Amino acid sequence: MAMFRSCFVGQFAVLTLLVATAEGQASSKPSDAVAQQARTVMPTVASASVPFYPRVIRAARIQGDVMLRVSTDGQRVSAVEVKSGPPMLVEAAKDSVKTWQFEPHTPISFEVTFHYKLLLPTKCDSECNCDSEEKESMLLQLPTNVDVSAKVPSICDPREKVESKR
Amino acid sequence: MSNTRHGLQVRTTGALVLFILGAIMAVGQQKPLPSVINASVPLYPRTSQMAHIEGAVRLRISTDGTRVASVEVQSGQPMLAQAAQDNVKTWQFEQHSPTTFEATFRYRLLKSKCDAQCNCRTAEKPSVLLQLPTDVEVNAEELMVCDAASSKSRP
Repeated sequence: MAMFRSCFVGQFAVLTLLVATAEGQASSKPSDAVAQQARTVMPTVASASVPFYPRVIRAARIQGDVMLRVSTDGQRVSAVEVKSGPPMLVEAAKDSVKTWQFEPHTPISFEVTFHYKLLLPTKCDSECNCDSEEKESMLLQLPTNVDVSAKVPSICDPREKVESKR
Repeated sequence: MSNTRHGLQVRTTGALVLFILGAIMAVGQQKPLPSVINASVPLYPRTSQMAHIEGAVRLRISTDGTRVASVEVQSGQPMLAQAAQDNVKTWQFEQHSPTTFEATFRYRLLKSKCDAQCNCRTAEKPSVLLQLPTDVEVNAEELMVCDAASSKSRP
């Protein structure tokens, strides 16, 4: 935890430094930073599979963020480098990214974040149809951001009509 | 006279009770929606994007227990309806007893602003929101015709 915190502080310092530098430059030409960002054109995804939250991982109640660095060859994903994330989810995210195909572009490398979130069941009926407060959903902002939220498979026995526990 | 009125009252009440019972049974028998386990990401059809076509598509989907058996278009612009149908046909489900349900695809174009160098941006990020198997939202950038040369020539 302490290491985590120091890491965090370190990152914050670097970030502050970066912001300060950016501000310094920005004061001379205000539109420079914005223009620079706008010029980095992200490739357009032309085809992809829906990134489902694998059932096994949901059953194991694993959630969290996965950060990947994706390199393209101009049309497909040529390499995926793992920056961070729980190992099982990293595999799921990598599998998903590998299904992406792009409109022809100059080979590029960019970062992608997958956020996996579990929805806990609040109520189950006698047939084990469980509800959660939030609906299962996937929000894709391709090619940089993917949000996946899905229910935890319920521990519910229809024969005994047991209510699942949170 | 009072007898017929009484009879009418009984019949109306009876019909009402039957109707309510029927409604309760219908709700009780409502099948849970099948879980989608495989699908392609629905993207905004390029031609519709260029033609500035947006809107909702309503489909009635019938399954055979694992795959989509048939799709009926209830409403929607033909080009978008075609795209939605094509996408639905990629869906695969967890084993279930064959069922029929409705799905809505909403296609929306996001307004973008361009600067003098034709760097166009949308306030909202283009996105695809999936709440399978009933709701899909596809939000794409509106394609702008921007002429850098003419914008530069402006004072």
